[in-house]
Amino acid sequence: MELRRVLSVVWGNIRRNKRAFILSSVGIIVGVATLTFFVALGMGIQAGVLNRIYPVNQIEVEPATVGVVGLREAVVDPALLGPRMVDTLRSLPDVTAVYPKMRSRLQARLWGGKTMFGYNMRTEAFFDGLDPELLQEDLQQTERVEDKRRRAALRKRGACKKDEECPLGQECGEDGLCGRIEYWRRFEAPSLAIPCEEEGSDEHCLAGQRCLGGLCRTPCEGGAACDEGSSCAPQPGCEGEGCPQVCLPDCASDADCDEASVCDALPGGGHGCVRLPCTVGQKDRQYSDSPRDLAGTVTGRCANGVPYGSATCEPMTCPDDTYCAVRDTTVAEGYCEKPLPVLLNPFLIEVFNSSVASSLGLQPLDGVEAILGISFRMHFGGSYFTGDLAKNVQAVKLAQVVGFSQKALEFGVTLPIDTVRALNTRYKGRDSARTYDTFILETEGNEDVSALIGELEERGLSLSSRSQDARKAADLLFILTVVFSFISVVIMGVAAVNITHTFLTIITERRHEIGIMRAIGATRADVRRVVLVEAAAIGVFGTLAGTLLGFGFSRLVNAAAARYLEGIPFKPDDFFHFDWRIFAGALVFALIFCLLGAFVPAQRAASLDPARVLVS
Amino acid sequence: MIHIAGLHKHYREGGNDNHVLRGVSLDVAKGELVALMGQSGSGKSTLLNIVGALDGDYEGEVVVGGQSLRGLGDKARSRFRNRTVSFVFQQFHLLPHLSVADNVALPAWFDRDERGKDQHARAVALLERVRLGSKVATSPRLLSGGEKQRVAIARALFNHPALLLADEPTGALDSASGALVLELFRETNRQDGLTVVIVTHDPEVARVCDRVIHIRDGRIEPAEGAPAAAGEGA
Ligand SMILES: Nc1ncnc2c1ncn2[C@@H]1O[C@H](COP(=O)(O)OP(=O)(O)O)[C@@H](O)[C@H]1O
Ligand SMILES: [Mg+2]
Repeated sequence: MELRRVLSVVWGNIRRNKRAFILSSVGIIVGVATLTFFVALGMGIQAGVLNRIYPVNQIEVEPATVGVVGLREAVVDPALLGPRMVDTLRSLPDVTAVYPKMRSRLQARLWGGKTMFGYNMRTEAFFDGLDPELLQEDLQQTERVEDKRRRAALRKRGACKKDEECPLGQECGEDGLCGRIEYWRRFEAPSLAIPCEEEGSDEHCLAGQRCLGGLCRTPCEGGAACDEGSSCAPQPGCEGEGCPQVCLPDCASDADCDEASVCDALPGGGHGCVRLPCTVGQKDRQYSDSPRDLAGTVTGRCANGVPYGSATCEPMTCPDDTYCAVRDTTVAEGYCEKPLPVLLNPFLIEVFNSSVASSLGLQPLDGVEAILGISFRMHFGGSYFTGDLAKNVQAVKLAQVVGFSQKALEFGVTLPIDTVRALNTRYKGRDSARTYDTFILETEGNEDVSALIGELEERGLSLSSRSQDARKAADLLFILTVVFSFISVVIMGVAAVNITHTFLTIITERRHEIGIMRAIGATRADVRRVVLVEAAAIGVFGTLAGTLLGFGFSRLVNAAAARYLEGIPFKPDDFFHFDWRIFAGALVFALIFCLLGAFVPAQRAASLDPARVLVS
Repeated sequence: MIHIAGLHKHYREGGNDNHVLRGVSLDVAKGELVALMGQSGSGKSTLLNIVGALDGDYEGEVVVGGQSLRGLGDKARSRFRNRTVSFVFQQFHLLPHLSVADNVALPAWFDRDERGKDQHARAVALLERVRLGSKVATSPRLLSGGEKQRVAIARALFNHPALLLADEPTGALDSASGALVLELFRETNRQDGLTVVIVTHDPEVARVCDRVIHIRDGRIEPAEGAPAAAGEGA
């Protein structure tokens, strides 16, 4: 019997007996719906929640600790946790990248939020540093950059040269058109003017730098060559004989330098990027919340380009996107600098919304957009918890929220690691900045990392509690998915038994039909095939309907989540991940159970004795 | 057309051995119209089912159309039923969900060589032949018993069989319908040279047949005026 005939017979049978078909399908539909729903939910949570907190291919390790009279002490010498460890980890098999993490080693305070809350909130500031490269994708995703770009592409966009020419919330893009600000781009270490006290010493300056003229600079006297892209020149601001030689970045115009520098002709010929010195006028103005106060006045230059000191000189403020970062709290002078880019952990906003806001009588925050770009002040060297450092090393800096990441510090802020390194060196000396606190390891794909963890343990490292939690959560999720898949398989098993019963009844009802088919030329195999194909039709129909049902139910859950979990920012819009593989898997299961259920009836139908049923 | 020698058939059920056919020997020539008579339970249907390859569980020799039915597999037997023999049953056995024409064309479903042929036209022609040209698209449910049986005959003729086996075809019909059915058997026998075996209790049926075979106690009774045809069995 040709397949076409078999199908038309099956189609006829289904049409004749719709009730039995639907009833037999119900179990399969419910089973497939359950399977689809829970597997999609499991995959959705894995992809949308767990992987965001900790991607499958990333683990965080820290020095293993042992308890010593109530305190925990690392088992490895902290001195080993430097760049050498990074190299060692990088050389491990399976490890594709290593991102060290450095915590702050100095006290700090922060305040801000006046524009949002009406007054400034003040708190102790804890911060750590992460490699911006590690976070790029994460930040773009959280900021919904794709979405922003898509929406921007639909709009008419104005041509521009500077950010000011664009409407609020937009910036002048590289394409010369106004576009939505993409904050994630700002998460990179700004070039800071790090002050220092001990002239000539390198203790509080980054590697390769030394304290020259009160700032950490890269020296090049004694024939020491500068890196490519920079040239040796007398230290800017130093006049007369015996000025130290320092490396300055080469440039042809201001555009080659960062926002806080200008391209100046150098005394020895050529051009180099030179930081803009500035003043806020009075030292107390550095605490001001007014952007105009912070913009300060650039010393030694005129906005209109005329020589400094001439009668027509218009005062110049620090360039766009920069402010006048005062050297310390005892003076009013400093250098123009970009604000420190800062990341927050979404958890912080949840905490704020769920408890802080109500107890302080503030409005809960609504989503990312409200907070991105918000500025606040960080006061390094000052503390509410421990004593302050000397006033002449305390410094107040402007910081700006440029993104959110689950990898950011839960209670505190996260800066680019180079910035944290510079600050730690400035305040606590070189040694403090030589070691890292934890390492984020990137592995290839979603391989099993157990072997890797074993190797790390040999080196005195262990999974960070967060990584352990992530693994536990992933394991739990997996177990739950398996349990619910099992339940749905049991449902399908029950459906199979149901199919057996229904089919046995149907076959008894149709025995004359089967008999006449056999008398006319149907083989046993033909009869069996018709029964099995009819069961398979239930499987296909059940899978389609069940998938639709499961999908529909998932939409309901998403809608309910959107409604009832409003206070939780950064929850995924879709808790489910539907994939053709789920459909294929459900289809396979459904077919297997339908065919299993129809096996005995098919056998019975095929072995029906036509002579007996036809002759009455 | 049919050659049977020493045919035995047992129905064994739960320790009971019902020896139904006890050494049947029989020959039917090509083109004969034969009536098979005997008491109820004498084994007529059993014999017919064996000849029609619906039942392959027997001892003895059965050759139909030159083909021995012994040892044929399910596929070959199905093909044999599809091509060589046709059945007409007392209970018609039409498929209620198909139209009359589709019922007639049913044998084509199991015939590879039928692919692409105009089965509907042939079904219609056969229905005209059995005087049902007006009921082509009707549902069998709406037909009278006699009409149903004529549809069954048309179906039996669809694949041009060599042998037609009818098991009490008029048993469920009134005499007028039965007469028409009988006439159709004779007509096909005369016109197409089809060999027809009709199991019947009806002397009227037996009267129009070329020959009447009686079966009794599992054996064929010798025909009147002829030497004993029954073999002594194996
Ligand atoms: N499928 C069967 N299983 C067991 N016994 C059967 C079966 N078919 C027929 N018989 C028995 O075989 C005998 C002959 O039956 P059958 O061939 O139907 O007789 P007839 O057609 O002459 O009335 C009867 O005793 C009947 O009970
Ligand atoms: Mg009978």
